[in-house]
Amino acid sequence: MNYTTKKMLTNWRVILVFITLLLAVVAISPNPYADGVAIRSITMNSSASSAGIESSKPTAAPMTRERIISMNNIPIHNMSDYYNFVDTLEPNRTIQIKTNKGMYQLVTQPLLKITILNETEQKIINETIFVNETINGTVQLVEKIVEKTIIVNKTRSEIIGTEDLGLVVYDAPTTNLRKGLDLQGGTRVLLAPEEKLDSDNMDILLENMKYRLNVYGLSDVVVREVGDLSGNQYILVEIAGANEQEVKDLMSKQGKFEAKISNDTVFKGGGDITHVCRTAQCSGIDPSSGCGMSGDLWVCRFMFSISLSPEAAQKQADLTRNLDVITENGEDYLTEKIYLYLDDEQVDELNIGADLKGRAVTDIAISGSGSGQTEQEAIFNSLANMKKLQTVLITGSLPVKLNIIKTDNISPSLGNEFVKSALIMGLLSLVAVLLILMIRYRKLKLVIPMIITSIVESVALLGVAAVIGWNLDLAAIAGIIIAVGTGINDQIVITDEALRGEKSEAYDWKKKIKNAFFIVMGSYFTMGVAMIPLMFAGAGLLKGFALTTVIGFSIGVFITRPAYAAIIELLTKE
Amino acid sequence: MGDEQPKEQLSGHIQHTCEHKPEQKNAEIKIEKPKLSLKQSLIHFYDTKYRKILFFTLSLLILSVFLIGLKIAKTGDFVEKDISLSGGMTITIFHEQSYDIKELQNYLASQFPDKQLSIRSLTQLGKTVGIIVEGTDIDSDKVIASLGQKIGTISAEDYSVSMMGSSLGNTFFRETLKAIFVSFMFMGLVVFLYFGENLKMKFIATIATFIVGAMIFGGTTSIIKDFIAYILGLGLITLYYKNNRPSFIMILTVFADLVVTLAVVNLLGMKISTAGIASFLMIIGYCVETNILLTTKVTKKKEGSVIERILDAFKTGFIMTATAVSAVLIALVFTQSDVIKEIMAILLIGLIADMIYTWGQNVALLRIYLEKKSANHELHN
Repeated sequence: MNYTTKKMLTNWRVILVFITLLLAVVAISPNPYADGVAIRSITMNSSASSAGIESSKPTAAPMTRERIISMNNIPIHNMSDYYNFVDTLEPNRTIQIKTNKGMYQLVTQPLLKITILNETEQKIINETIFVNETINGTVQLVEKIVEKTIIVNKTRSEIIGTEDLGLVVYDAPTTNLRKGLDLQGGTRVLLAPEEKLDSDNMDILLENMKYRLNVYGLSDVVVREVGDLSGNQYILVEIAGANEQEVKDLMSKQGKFEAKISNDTVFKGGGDITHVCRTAQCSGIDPSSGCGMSGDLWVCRFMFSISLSPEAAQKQADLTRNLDVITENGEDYLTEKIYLYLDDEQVDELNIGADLKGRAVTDIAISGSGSGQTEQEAIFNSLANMKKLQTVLITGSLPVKLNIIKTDNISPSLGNEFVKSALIMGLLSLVAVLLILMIRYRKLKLVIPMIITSIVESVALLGVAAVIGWNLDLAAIAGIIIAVGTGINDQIVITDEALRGEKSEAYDWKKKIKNAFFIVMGSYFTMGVAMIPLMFAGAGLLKGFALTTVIGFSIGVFITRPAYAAIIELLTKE
Repeated sequence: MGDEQPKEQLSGHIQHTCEHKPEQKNAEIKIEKPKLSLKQSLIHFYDTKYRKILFFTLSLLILSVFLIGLKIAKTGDFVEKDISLSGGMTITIFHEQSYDIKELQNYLASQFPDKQLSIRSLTQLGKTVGIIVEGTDIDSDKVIASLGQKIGTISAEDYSVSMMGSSLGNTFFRETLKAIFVSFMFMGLVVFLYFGENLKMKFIATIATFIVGAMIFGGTTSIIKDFIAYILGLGLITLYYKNNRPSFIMILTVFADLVVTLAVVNLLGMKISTAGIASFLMIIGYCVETNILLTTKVTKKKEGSVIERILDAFKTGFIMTATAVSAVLIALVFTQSDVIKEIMAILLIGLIADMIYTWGQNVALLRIYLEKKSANHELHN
């Protein structure tokens, strides 16, 4: 180690760069050998959730996510290992999952198909009714549970496969850098509330929206408020990794659910509904009507049961008490139907059985339909509609109606391609810059520190991104390009200033550096102030760009540039 | 460094001429002209014909303003907005095979006769890697299903769909323009604080710039408030003109760079997206840097002649722009992303315009300013 190198390495500015680099690497914590598949989310009421596996927060650092390492002692290295294993699973078996955090026992659940038979059977069920009773001399309405015998069609359940484990996984991340949706694929929806919300209502809205998506089965979601300079409010929803186009309408629905009998509200979604059944036993394709052709489309009906609060049940009893009974196709119905509305739009109408007249029934069935080109598609669509309706009934309505104003569905495979080509691009650009600098300075001794400084700057910038949990998307990449580009420019200024009049005594080193930094700081301040307005404009669409640029500039000006100047000083003095 | 030899020779005799009247200098140089290398004659041209260069850059600027004005008259807007700003749907399908784009276009037109759909191919290194379909007011699923019948089923993994509401596009565009205006004013302020000399004026300019920012960004938006802010902005520029000419010259150069870039972008028929707006901001950044370099060297330094200082700055600035251009070119060729391509193309145009305006217009205006200043100085003495 010669004298100059030694001096270089002991310079406090250079040491500061090393510390920055070290911190950045720790923050990014790269591990190219990270094995297994990382758990993105857990579906509610699935085998995985009953086994106690927990979804990590969407804001958690990528490297802290739980990773599945083996299943039944078969090592899982990547997604295809995982799917190969899962495909062989049979129902009602216990499997062992080993993650980097612990062991879990999962019991696979059977996938049932329930068919209705023509035979009937007797069943005894409990029903809550309200009766007038005289207590202490006053007539009061009291709830009573009575046993009732009903005749129902026999059902047969067949096991047709294994229910999904409820694990959503992806290849284990190798760094703490969060890829934005542009790079990893996913769905991004920007919504605007129809009227202005105060901060309390906005919080309620965001919470409800998150809850709604979780109930629907998506836990790896980011829901946050964004604004713009004109004071418009927006809600940004990002769902990573998956193309979830169907959740669009789930989000734009205010979810105001109402059931009405002759224009009087019987019950509403949310508070009036105490339970929504989502298991295969009491929800699914309606076995009594099933699927059929309507025109040139297949239509399927779905149904699921819900439980009403006693107040809502009583309301229904009051509203049906004075209705007449009519007979239709040999069955007795009431003259009025019950109409179901979602966001003031009628979604279904149901006949009310004559035996429900004037009775406070808490358990009722809700139905609806879905259509498609083929029977398969119709089944799929009606089950999807059912899931959305169930979600809305559980989570209740949002404070206002929301309009979708922007959606992006980015395919995950495109993102991977993009990352690859961006890396190649970056590398080639660096080589091109190196060549030009070589033509100009003709000394590797001068050019190598320049290139190293640029690389250090990019790594430090990525480190900051990892620490603040910033998503790297296209805008951020553009920001990195401009930060590194400006960095190279500043280094050229410093180098030229250092080489100027090398032999002339008129220049002392301090003056040279002062001259160079006068230019460097000038461009830093102008660019800094130019970027700040962009952070707040237009629903934050360019915030990533502005933020990355400003952070990149600051790292450059305060950390790497002084160190570069120190190195150049030693090199030119040599 | 051997290549500095001829320049030193040249600047040697300029040193005692240039500080005086330009007519004298011309005469003197012509006399001792006999053999000049290409480089020397270029430098000679640059040194003496700066008024011609200025005439060229100003004509280009006026032509650009005229072209943009024509565009506004024709389309009502000064840029061609793409779907991401005007509202609509974009489907990007990655499918590595070659397509007959015309045939697909006709096919889609027959499938959706009442809709406006445009289709183009996506290329990387000249190879087709996919197609892009754009349209307004149409269900993307239907388009994908119908395209699938023509080119084979498209799996959900292989395409991306973006939808932008026209109201958001408009708001975004309007706001970003305002943000660029405020950025520009702040940039002007920093330049004035940097190069200006009058402390009182600096104080006034700072307060006024913050008022402009607050008026554009604060509270509810109103046309009157915006209008006052723009007037105040113009007032500030006038203040820079009166108080510190180099600052004004620099602001004019950055402005010209942006305007000329925009005119070229329009001429090439490029459409601007949200990302395109970001690239205009990048241009401000690059342009400011070379201009600060030039203005610092020319106005803050005393040693050497003016042309010597200019050439010194040019040597540094040229390498700065050259490295940027090389990186931009590489990105332009190797990317498969339409967004990155757009950013890089605009940046490339801007960098070339920056070369012309920094080393042509800014240099010429600075020299005229310095001549007048020294003439005044002599007069006072």
